[in-house]
Amino acid sequence: MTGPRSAGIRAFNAGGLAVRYEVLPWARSFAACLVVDCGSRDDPAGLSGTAHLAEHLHGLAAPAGPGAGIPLLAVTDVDRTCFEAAGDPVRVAPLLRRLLAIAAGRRPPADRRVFEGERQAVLLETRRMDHQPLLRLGPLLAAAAAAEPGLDAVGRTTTESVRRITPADVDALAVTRYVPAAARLFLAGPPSPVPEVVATLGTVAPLPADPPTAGSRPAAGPPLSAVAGLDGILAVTLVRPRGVDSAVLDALLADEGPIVDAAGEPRRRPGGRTTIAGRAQQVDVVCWAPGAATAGLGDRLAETATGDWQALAGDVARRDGRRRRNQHHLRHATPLRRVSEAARRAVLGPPDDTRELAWWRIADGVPVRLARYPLGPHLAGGAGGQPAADW
Amino acid sequence: MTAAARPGAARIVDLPAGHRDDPPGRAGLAGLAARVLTSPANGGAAARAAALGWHTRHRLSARCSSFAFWSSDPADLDDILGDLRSARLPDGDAGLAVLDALRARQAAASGGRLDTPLARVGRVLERAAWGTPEEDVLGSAATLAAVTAADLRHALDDLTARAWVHDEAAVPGPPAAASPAAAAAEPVAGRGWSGGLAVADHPGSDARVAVRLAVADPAPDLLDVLVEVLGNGPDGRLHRELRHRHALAYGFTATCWAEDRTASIGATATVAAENAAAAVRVLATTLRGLAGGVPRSEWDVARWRSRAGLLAALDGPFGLVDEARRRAHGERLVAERCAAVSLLTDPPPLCLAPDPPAVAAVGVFDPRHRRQLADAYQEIR
Repeated sequence: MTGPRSAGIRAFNAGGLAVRYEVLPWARSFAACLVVDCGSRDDPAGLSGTAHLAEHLHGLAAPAGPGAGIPLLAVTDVDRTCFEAAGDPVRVAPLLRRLLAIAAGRRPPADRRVFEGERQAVLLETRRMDHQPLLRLGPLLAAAAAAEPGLDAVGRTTTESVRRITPADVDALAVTRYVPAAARLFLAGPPSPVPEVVATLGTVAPLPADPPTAGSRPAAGPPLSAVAGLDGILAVTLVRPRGVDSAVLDALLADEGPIVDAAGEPRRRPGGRTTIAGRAQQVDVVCWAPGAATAGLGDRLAETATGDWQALAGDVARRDGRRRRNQHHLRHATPLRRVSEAARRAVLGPPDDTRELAWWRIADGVPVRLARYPLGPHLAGGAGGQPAADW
Repeated sequence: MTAAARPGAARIVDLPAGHRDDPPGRAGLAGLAARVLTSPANGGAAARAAALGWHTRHRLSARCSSFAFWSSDPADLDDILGDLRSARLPDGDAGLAVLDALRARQAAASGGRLDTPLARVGRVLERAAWGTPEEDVLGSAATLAAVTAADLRHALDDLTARAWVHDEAAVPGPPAAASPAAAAAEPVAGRGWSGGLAVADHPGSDARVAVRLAVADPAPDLLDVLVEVLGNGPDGRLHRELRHRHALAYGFTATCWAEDRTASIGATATVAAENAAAAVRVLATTLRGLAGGVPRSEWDVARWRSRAGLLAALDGPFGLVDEARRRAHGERLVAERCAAVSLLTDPPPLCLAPDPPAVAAVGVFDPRHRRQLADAYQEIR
């Protein structure tokens, strides 16, 4: 699928790695995003944070090696790790070589000092979750709402688990999960670098007869236990298939939608929103702080879920059409945004068809389900969603 | 439209008054006027932007209040000035209630209380660099209370009548040196480099520290490339020093300034509060190390990064309209900077000024941390 104002996509295979280049005649910059099939759900039991530390170590380059000095922005999510960068289209080979090496799990040797420096950085990030328990609310609710295991994986990370990780743990994870055949590389930029892209990808050794594939996952750790500091929060969750676009499902929990219904009553606006995406399912989470104006919310949820929710949300989606169009275009406004969006939408596994609303209160640090409404198989007309086309 | 055209279109509307134009005793007027124009409840461009999902940006500077709008449909923005002018503070009690709410929000934000940690450390660093109190950009509860509804209505009518509209698709004309934005970088009267240590409380699990050094007569574009030598990501000097040599920091940034006739270069680090003093030492040493020269290979990569950042900025939703605005105001274009960096093949020398460094720290510090920061400052000054 191309974004607005695209001159098309060129596809390549670089030693098993699927590469897509969206050609944008108007672009001045070049951008790349590598999606690796390794996420927090792959952390071994008791060693939460291993995938995150692997991301940090793979994001480094040997000071004198190819691609040194090219800044990569990397994020570890539940089921994937993304490495992205914007570059000068005059010279793209160093950036590409850097990402090709990461896709194959190659990284510069990290001595003890480098390893500890990156561990310290991960610890600082983890301390933020300790300091702000709300950062763990999304994972906590997603894991309670959805059947897919591991949706709370990011939230399970603690300073203690990060301190237990050894270089050997990172190596063991990377060797099974940083595999080209399971990764995707998205590129976008002007036409001028295409010959350099082709030449650089051409240097990658062809796929061997018995190519490495992503290994099996280590045993998962225990789910996220109670989180202090969240009691009294109310939340609505919507479980839906990952990688399935649906304006109607988006509208169900919109501020102006039939459940939140804050268009005429701004005090009903939620205090926070997040989406936790796994491999097969994603969970949209909307929450209200204790004391917020939530009277009638449970009734509206029940009436919507047991009534003609597709018609109610469909009206909202139609009214919101121009805003959605602008937001879609904005997500594709630059080469970097295009590759980020493509990486976010990349489907790495078959989606789970469950669609379900639920209503929660946090008590003693644990989500207590107050009501649950399976939305059933979606009706004709795409109201329940259309599979997102991969790039 | 063909694939050769970039998606969407953008306009900028500049109102010719900024926070330094606020009347005596009514500091915060420009900020309040901007709040009226950016609140969807008051109608106008903000209401259309919210309904249609436009991308928007507002910047309040010393002499200008600048509103940027982006839409996927260029026709949406054909009468953007008319849209902006149609925003209204309601009449009567309703207007007074809106004004009270805007005052409360602005008072809460004044003094940087709602700043992100990075913005906060930047403001405190300004104070350390110049030795002057932070500018009263948004006013105080008292000065905001002195702004009446009539003041606001008059300001809105007057400023929107004198507004400038910048269009990325417009044919370039001659620069207009007297335009409002041209005055945005005007020096603060009587201000000169001071240097010093400034520490401020800021909630959160992390602390931020910043060090800024004055530079003597840098070659054009030198500091832009040196910022990339320091690096905002993995593999720059900051990453190696802060993370790997000293295991201190999660994040870091580098930036440079050319204002008030004093150029400077600086860096920030996100650290645990107990590591703030150590990070100050590392930042100062790393910044001063730039004066020792940059190897050619490191310089070339930094130039690549510098160009990449400039090109990515041009590709942004407001990239071209910002460029049109710079052209209209006779400012240097990003495209010109990009070309200049390409030609800067040999690293020019960097000469640091003998002035004391400016150091800022924000976070939750106990007395011991504060003593350590003071000791670190004495060491590096």
